[in-house]
Amino acid sequence: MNKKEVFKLAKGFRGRAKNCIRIARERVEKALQYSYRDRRNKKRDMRSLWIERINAGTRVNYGNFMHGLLKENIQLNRKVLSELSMHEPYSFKALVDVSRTAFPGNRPVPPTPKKQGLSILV
Amino acid sequence: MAMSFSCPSSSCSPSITSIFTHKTYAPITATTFNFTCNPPHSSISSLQFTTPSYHRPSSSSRIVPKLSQTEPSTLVSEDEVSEPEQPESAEETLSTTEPKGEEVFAVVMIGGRQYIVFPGRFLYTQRLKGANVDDKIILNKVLLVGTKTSTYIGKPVVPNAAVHAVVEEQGLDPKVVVFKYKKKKNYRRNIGHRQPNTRIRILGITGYQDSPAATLP
Repeated sequence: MNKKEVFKLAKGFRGRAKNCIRIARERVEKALQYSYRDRRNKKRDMRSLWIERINAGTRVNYGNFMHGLLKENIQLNRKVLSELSMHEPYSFKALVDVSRTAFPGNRPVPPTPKKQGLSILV
Repeated sequence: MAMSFSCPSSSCSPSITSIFTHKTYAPITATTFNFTCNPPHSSISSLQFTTPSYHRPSSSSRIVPKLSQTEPSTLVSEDEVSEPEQPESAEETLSTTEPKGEEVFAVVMIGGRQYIVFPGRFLYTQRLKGANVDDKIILNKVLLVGTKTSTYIGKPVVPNAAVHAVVEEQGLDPKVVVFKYKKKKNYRRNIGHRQPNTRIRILGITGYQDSPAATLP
């Protein structure tokens, strides 16, 4: 890469790394290495984000939910499921119900925490 | 439109079936092409705009003769569903509400990826090899359809559902620089890469009405 390209890629870098070619070249190379690595990491990160969102959307836990969908041979992927859980809540509810009938069967209700006063100490 | 000529099937490369990945059980005769060419002027006239604006669908009724390809035989899925199709007659009758009527959405699988699709919007997919600009395309792998009052969940595919789309342009993704470097070994490779893609605009979603649905009470 010649100097012009290096400086173009070095925009926004801190200190002399955006102005001086010797330093900029090193930093730009490092930045490109990171981007290569992170293109692969991004896929992993997104998938774990989707799983978090799906888990938040179902009150049944994520593992049971996915197992139920698998049993019913529903092949929506996690990206779409997380989008549905955010924007189309009723469709997502339908999916959760499908999964519940498929796998655990009954509907586990999350236990409500009971408020206990100081009397328990006595 | 005065005449509607269809692309001679022979000119479309057989590799297209692999794009839509319909592995039929029956002996494949490579006739299951899901798109035909349409005269660009008439049916696509309202799609000439190039602004990537997500405006509401003008009228999905404007179009599109149901094309006479051998659709029902090609309902079989692709990479994911390897087993024969489950009886998609498993019903559930739940209640769901969705923005309805003109506003339906579908989850469709193209090129191995799934997209949530609304009529009137466009999306970028992997390059579809045999398609030229202004081709009508029918997407068969519809995994879920939602309307205002009901949701049709496919196991894995909603039967007889189809999403109509038109190919707008075949371009390239923005450039990605692939830079490989090993330290202290004098190894540097600098490669640029632009992935080919296709922009398709969704016209409408049809054919889902008879499938089992989960509806709002």
